[in-house]
Parts: sequence; structure tokens; C-alpha cells
Amino acid sequence: MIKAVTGKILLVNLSDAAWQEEILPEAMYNEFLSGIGLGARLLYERIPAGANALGPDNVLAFLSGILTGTGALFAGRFLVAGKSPLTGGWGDANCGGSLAPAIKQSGFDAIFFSGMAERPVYVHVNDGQVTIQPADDLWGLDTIETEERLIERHGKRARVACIGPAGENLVRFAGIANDRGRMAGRSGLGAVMGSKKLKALVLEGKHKTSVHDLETLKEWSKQTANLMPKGKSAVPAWALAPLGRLMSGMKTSFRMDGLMALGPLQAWGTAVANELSILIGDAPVRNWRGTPAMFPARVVGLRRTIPTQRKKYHCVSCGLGCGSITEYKGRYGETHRPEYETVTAFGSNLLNRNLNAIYDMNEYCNRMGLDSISTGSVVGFVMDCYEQGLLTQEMSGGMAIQWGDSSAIVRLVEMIVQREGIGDLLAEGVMRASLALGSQSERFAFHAGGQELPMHDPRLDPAYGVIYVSDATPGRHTIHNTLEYDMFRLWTRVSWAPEPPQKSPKSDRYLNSEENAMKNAAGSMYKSLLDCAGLCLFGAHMGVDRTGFFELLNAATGLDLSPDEYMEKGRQIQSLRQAFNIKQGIEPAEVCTNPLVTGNPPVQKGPLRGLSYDLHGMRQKFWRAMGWDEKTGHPLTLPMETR
Amino acid sequence: MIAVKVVAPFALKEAAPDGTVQLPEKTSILRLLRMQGAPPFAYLLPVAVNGVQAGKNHRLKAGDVVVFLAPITGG
Repeated sequence: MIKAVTGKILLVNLSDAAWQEEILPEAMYNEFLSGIGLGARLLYERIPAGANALGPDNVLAFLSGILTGTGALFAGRFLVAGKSPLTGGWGDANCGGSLAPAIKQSGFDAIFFSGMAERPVYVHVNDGQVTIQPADDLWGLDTIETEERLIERHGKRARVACIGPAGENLVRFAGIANDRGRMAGRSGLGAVMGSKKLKALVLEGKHKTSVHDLETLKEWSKQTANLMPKGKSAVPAWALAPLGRLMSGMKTSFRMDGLMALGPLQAWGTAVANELSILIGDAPVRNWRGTPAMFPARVVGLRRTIPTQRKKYHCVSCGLGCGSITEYKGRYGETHRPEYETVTAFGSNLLNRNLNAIYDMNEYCNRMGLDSISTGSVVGFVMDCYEQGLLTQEMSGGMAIQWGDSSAIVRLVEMIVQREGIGDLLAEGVMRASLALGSQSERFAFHAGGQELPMHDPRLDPAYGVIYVSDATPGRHTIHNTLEYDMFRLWTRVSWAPEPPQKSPKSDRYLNSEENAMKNAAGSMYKSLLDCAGLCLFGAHMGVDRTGFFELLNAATGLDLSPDEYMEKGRQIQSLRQAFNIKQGIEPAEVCTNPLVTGNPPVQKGPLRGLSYDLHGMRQKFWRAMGWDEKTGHPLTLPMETR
Repeated sequence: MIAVKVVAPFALKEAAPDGTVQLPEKTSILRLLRMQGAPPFAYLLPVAVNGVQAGKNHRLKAGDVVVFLAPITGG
């Protein structure tokens, strides 16, 4: 058996409260590594075609990465996967915190839940021993209260993943929380957990992860640690927005390097992007249909957010530490510093200038177990529909829903969590709500294949657009984009990955070229490898040559594979995720998004003026670069068929 | 002469593909920018040397890693 894995998984059937271990063949690890690869392999096989995502046939997986627990830096993310109730296809999400190593320490590489319990339960796994406990007393508690209760019961070493009321009420964009409200948010897997009446997973154990070549692992981790910024940030916070605006105004783009961004990211996390992204047109304004002139970006800028930082923190295995606890005036008083996505979804996207209300929504979503991206998007859709008269005050229960009205935003989200009044429809997500409100509302619905779009406008970087409609979990921003391709530096290790020039015209991004398709394919394959490893994207920003990503995989496992061979595994895993969707009845060519984000029609004002791209053609070239049928997006072969 | 590694969001006139630049000993960052034909905006960018904040008059030594920090979006 390869190293760095336990070699076994845990299967829990909640319908009959039974569990069993399953020893996996070594060949499966050799072929799919662990993490998302293992999940794709097993869920493709074990979730029947046409399974109800919120029914007993869906299987929910908690997966650890192959590098997690090996001592490799940045390998602290766990993954959840299953059939998404939002898209009806492959759903996955990942999160940092401290849960990832606990999966392996409990004795398993992954834990799979099938069936449905009759009454609420939680599952406790301790060094391979499994108990299924009643959770009636926890049902209805928020994620932080749930975690506190379970830690009180099982001790401080216990690690908890749980859902809040949103997951219990089957809100289709509910997430799964750990570490006091940190969220594996996307794909609606919290609703899957809720449908199974599984309130929480509690993990304990002392299983150690053995590795093949500890010295090599230590050496690379030391080299990576040496790259971390030291001392005070070299960047004055006030300078970021004007500098970024200056650079974005140039017709030439320069190849970016992850080292350039480490300092600000360490100091302020993704909040560094809040203001700049609005100014340059990356952040949606007014449900994607506005321009930066409509929203004063400074209200979410660093000069406003830095004073709220109270305490910084790291995820497990992280050398950077981009997280922090922030204070605000409101019902909870403090929250994890909201990520860029949340600030934008509840800020410029809704023309909401009230920073305290944005922070409050962040904490409320964390506690209720909601994906803040989808939640903010749903509210934006409602505000547009209300303004256009497609949703009346009578339908909203007498509430006026005006742009920027923070009290209406809070009330709408509360109604979504409880499925109260109009909230019952909105809890179904933008796509289903739009179908119910009629075809007039379609142009205000911003989703891809059923999942609400993240807060990055593809008109600024068409690579986002291609991935939004091409990945097996559509509408995801953490798969690949042009900036991250630069930073991953794949060309330093992978023979066929195109090397971007040091500088190039910005118009190159909009070309439907073979080179752009190859970059998109390489980024997509690499992302699946990161999710096999449990690695953080921000760690990956330093580049494969500096973090020794491929060398770490060999050192941890004892495999002796070249980067090209690993990338082929990445391709196979993406093929399996795509095949999962086809098995579940989703035709890749039919997955689409709102034409506005392709620049159709082009906007007349602002930084995105006149920008458009050929999404259909770029997707076809991407599929071909992935080795799939360019017309249908079907993989031509699957790994299991080539054995 | 000394070799330093430069990571920058602009083109350098005489850098090796891995960003290595040969400079006279004790060259300042300001002089490095001039010697490498840096564009005007580069003079405004904050700099870190070996991960630590540095001023433009900071004198470089062999093996230093000089990173010009750039605002990026994402997250």
C-alpha cells in the first residue's frame, strides 16, 4: 500500500444505523490518490443514476487529502462531496480549519454517509470506533452552539463538522461548518446532510500518518516556510486600491507571481480585494447589472476593515495565516473576517453600504450554515425582481425590498433559513425561483447550471466564464483563472503547460486560442490534484517549483511519478466528475449562464465597457484540450474503462 | 558582481528566465529599477527583501530575493 493513507474508508448507512469499514485496493489509491479523486471514483459508482439529491440514495462523503497530516505545509483542507441539490450533478466544497487531519486521525481516509435517519443523529468516530448518537437536543441549534455542545460532551480534542438550521430546513445552498462557522459552502451539501438528519460528525483519534520520505517532505516544507513574509506588511493599506487601479488601466498585463501577493494576503486576507475589485470591474454591482460608479468602493476598503481586526489565526498546517476574528456593531459582536466573496455578495452586489450589516450577515450565514455567495446572489435576484414588478409587496409578505436596504436583506435571509413566506421559494436558489416567477425574471437570474455565480466577472477574465459553465460543479471561482494560472507556474514542471510571456496585451485573454484552452485545461487538472492533496489554493499560489508540489506527492506516498503523469491523473478525475453529471442526466453542452456575463449585450459604461468573448467556442476548445468530445463535452474514455 | 532574484509585475531588461539579475555589490533597489528599465509605476510599488519590508534605498547583497508587491484581486 502507498504511504500517507490509512487504506480504508468508513461507510455509515443512516437508514439502518449500521456502519462498516472497507479496505480499498491499492490500485485505487495509485490511480486516484485520495481526497477528491477517491470521492469521484466511489461516488460515480455508488450514487445511482437519477438519485434524489435529498433522498436516501445520495451519498455524502467527507474526504481528507493525501498530503494532510504528513507535515506538508498548506495541506489542511477537507472536502465534502455528493450529488448537489442545486445543480443535480456533482457537488463538492472544501474548507480549512482543523477538521482535515482529524478525518485521518480517526482512522479513515474518508467517511461516506448513505440512507436517512428517522430522527436527528450525530456520528462519533474515535480511533475507528463508531457510534451513532441521538441529536434531538442539537436540532435547531446554530453551528457554533452545536460545536460548543459537542466539544463539551466529547472534550477539547474532538473536531466537529455540522449543519445549522439552513441545512436542517433543506435550503438548497446550505453548507457544512467547522471551527465555529467556517464553511464548506458551495454545492448545497449542507442540505444533503440535513436530508439525512445528520446534524454533526464528531472526530477523534490518534492514528498517525506515515510517509515514504520524511526528509524530503521536511526540506520542501522548510523552503516553503522561508517564503512567508516576515514582520509588518510592506504594503501600506491605502496604496493598494490606487496602485491596482493604475495597473488595471494599462493595456498590457504582466505575468503575476504569487510572491507579490503574499504580504497583503497574510496581513489582511482576501479583504485586500474588496475595494479594488469593485473599481476595476471584477466585483458585481447591483446584481451584475450595475457599474462601479453606483457603489462607493471605499466603504468596504481596507481603511474601513483593518480597524475591525481583533485576532489573527491560521488553519492547521498553514504557514501564512490569512484569517482573523473581527469585531462589529451588531447582534453577535464578532465574526470571522468576511471573505471577499461575502463582502461583495452582500455589499456592492446589493448596493448595501452598511459594513456592520455585511459583517452581521457573514456571522448569521456562518451560524445558520448558509453559503454566503448563493445567499447574497438570491437576495440580489429578489431586489431586481421587486424593482421590475415581478415580485410584489404582497408576495414578500408586505415588505418593501429596495436596493441597499440592510434591514430588508437581514429579514429576507432570515425568511430563507426558516423557509418562511417568500423565503420558502428563495431557499430553492435563483434558478428554481426564476422558473417559478416566470420567464421575465430569467434575465435577473445569475447562475450557471443552477449554482449562483461567484463574485468574479468573467468579462474581466473570460477564463472564469469558461470554467463557470464547464466544470462539473458549475459556477465555481476556485477552479482556475488567468491570474492563478500565472501563479501556479505549472510550465516549470509540466512539459505541455504553456508558459505565459512576461508581458502581453490584455486582449489576449479574450482570444479563443489553443493556448488559452491549454491553460484552462492545465488549471482544471491541477485543481483536481490540489483537491486530492487537501492543499489550500493560497499555498499553491507560490508555484509548483517553489512548493515542490509534485515532489511532495512522491515523498509522501512513495509513488514515483512525473508531473506529467500526475496531471494525467488530474485529467482522469475531472473526466470522472464530468461522467458523474452525464450519468445523472446532465448534458454538459446544455449547462449555460446568463448571457450578460459573456458581454451579450456589451455594457456601455465603466471598466467592462464593450468587453465580450466567445464562451461557446472557448468551451469547445477547453473540452478538446481535456481530451473530451468538443461538441458534447463527454469524456471519450473513463479511467475504469481503460484498465 | 552579485546575483539577486527579482520577482516583479513588470519586465526586467537583463534578467534570466528565473528572474536572476547580476548587479554591482551594494546596489540599491532604486538603482536596480533604473538599471533594469522599470516602467514609472514600478517606482510606486512596495518592496520586500527576503520577506521583510524594505525601502528603495535598501542595499542588496548576494542571494537576496527582491519582491515587488502588487495588488491583486481574488478570494
